[in-house]
Amino acid sequence: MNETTAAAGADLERLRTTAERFRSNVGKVIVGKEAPIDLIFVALLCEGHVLIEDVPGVGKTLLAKAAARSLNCTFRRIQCTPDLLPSDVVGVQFFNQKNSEFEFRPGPILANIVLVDEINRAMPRTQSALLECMQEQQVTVDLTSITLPRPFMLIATQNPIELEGTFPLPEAQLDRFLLKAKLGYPSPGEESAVLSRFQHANPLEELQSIVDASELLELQKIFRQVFVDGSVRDYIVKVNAATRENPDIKLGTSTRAALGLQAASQAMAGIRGRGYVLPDDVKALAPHVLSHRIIVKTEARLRGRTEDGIIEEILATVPVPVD
Amino acid sequence: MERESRHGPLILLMGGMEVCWLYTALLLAAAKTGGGAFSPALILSLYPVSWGYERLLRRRPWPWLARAGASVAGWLLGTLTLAQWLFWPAPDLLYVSWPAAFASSLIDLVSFPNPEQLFLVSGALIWWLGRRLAALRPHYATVITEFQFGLAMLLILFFMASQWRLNLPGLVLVCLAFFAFSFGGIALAHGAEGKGWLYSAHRSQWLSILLFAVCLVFAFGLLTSAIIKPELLKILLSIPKLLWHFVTELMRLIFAFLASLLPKSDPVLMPPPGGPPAVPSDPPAWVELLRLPPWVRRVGQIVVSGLWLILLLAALWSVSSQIVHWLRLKLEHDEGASYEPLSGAFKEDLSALLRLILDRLSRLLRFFRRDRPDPVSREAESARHIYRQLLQLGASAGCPRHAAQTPGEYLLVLNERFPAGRPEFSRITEHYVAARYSPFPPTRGALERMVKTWDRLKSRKVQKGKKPAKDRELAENGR
Repeated sequence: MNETTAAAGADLERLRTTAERFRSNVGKVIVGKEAPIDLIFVALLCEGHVLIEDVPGVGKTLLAKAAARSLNCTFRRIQCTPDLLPSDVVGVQFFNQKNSEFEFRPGPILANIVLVDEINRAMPRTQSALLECMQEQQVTVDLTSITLPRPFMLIATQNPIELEGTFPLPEAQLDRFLLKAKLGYPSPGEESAVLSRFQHANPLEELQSIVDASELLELQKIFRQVFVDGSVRDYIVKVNAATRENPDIKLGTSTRAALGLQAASQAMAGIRGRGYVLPDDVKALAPHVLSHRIIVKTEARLRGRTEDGIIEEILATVPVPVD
Repeated sequence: MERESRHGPLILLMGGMEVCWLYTALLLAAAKTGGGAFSPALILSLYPVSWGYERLLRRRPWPWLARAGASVAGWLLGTLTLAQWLFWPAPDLLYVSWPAAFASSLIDLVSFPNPEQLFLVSGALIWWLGRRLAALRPHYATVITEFQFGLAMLLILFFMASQWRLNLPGLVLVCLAFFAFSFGGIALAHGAEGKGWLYSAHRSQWLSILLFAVCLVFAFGLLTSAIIKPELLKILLSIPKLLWHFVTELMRLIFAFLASLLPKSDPVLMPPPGGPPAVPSDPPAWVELLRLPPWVRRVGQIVVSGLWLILLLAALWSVSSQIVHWLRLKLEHDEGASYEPLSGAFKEDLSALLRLILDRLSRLLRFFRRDRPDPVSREAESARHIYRQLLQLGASAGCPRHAAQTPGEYLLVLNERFPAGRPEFSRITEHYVAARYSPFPPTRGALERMVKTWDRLKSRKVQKGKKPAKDRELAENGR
């Protein structure tokens, strides 16, 4: 038992130090946003996808690019526009006249880290092209399925304020995002630091990668060893079930949400160097994992209820396993 | 004080409601077991005894276990006394062999249900209901659920009586008494909560209408029972029967007429009759091996009957819940309408009982599986125990943990309110969290450190004027 504990301890230490390195590396570009950076690393470990939602100009795209640069993986960017087609995302079969054969030209989705900027500006059919990639990590073009490279992670950004010329993401797609992160405005001190840092050059261009794909795959196996007590698992289930029973919620969260919350809690415990999940991990991550998966009733929305507020209320009522 | 004074009549009315369906159930049981010494009225006497006894026990500052033990002892004493009086009314007080006879009747499964077994089961149920009544805090929702449950029980019992073709005496009066108790209880409870029309400006008018309604129900019930006799019912039921016979006879005549129009076929020669029917031979000897003994079949019958009864109750409960839910939804959509939540006492009782049964079963299973906690698990339990004590200490100092607070969040609250205890709170919480949520129990060293920290927290000396008032309060409570 001691050997197992020691091995797990060494692995956890490796996980913690890598997360720290990632945090400090991205922190060279993004000032004072440790929580969203940690969320992106959590999603990387869980091989989930992240939706970054905030007002324009707070660094959504910059955060995504900095996170991608910190990983020694292939990176592609898709700028979503209303005229973007599904074939522009997944790739297309074209007829090569030189050798008289059809050839597949891969789209930008065939990369390790894909930044889908302003995802809600793409038309629904283009958005739907991402469904298979996000859940099954493969694309199907002309009856041929192509497996995406591993690790695969999609970071999407969207602006919740501007609605003109946008197409809201369908529930099926929102459910496929493991986490939703918000950056928020920086404090005056942070803003001053940003100005100072970007005065002479863009630090993003000098950013070095600190983790490569194979190391990330190993870390993905390690965090799964983080222990989840039965009572904590029950707590996750209760929180998830509470979203289905809340009178202000039209559609509660899915089982995929519960799975995501458990995995994200394991990853969060792992990057803090802890070999077991605490209810605090669940509470910290639940707003990010659940809030974008629920649909609030119109009448509740008119009363000023928001997704985040309802999730906070649920977390303030579901009993925590303590005895 | 005024509220307390209203509890007495409310308890009486609720007790009356329960007595009505209990009496019917006992009548049914007596009729089914052949009666004998099984006397429903005498067994019902356990109900007020149990209620009074429990009220007395609750006034004693005894721990829960002692109260439960005293209650069980009271039940045993009451049951045995009543059993001796009912079944073995020996004039000679030195007649001491009746307990053995009583015990043998109880374990006789072949003759189940015999009066002694029914007496024991019903006595235990009545004793428990009396205890429950003493523990109940009567309010509007409780009375409503008592009424719902009582009504459902009466319907089930009447249905069973009609299926078994039993003629139980006094059922009309029982029904009327039940409704009178129910309406009275509901009105009183509603008024006692200060929002009823019984306490409004038009109290006298409403009270008159209520009394008139109760009298009307009584009168209508008595009139109905006086007019509608079995003979009248037979006549009424015979009308559709006669109609049915008439229609079938008419159909037969029509078909006979149509058949007479068809040409007659040649007579068919029937085969000659054979010999006498074969006498079935005795089954082979191995069939006897497959035949279950009577007591096994009896137990099987009991289990199956119990399952059917549970299913029936569950179905009734489910249907009534759905109706209530539907009504609630409907009321929610009606503007200006107000509705009250009916979180019933019976539902709480039922869930508590089921939890208790599951808990006992799991303990029993653990006992049979010989799952003994290892010494390391005991250490984890010790860590939990210390944290529980910390929770009690915090609660007694006016800072209880909210059910939705994690240990980490509660630690922040404790640190803020009692800053002097910050290192101890942090250490105890840290050890507890590791013991509670990790797969590895705490080491002996960690546990010893935790115990020392707890002792330090408890025995902290209070220096007047040097520590904040909250810390002083906490330390004093700790001692």
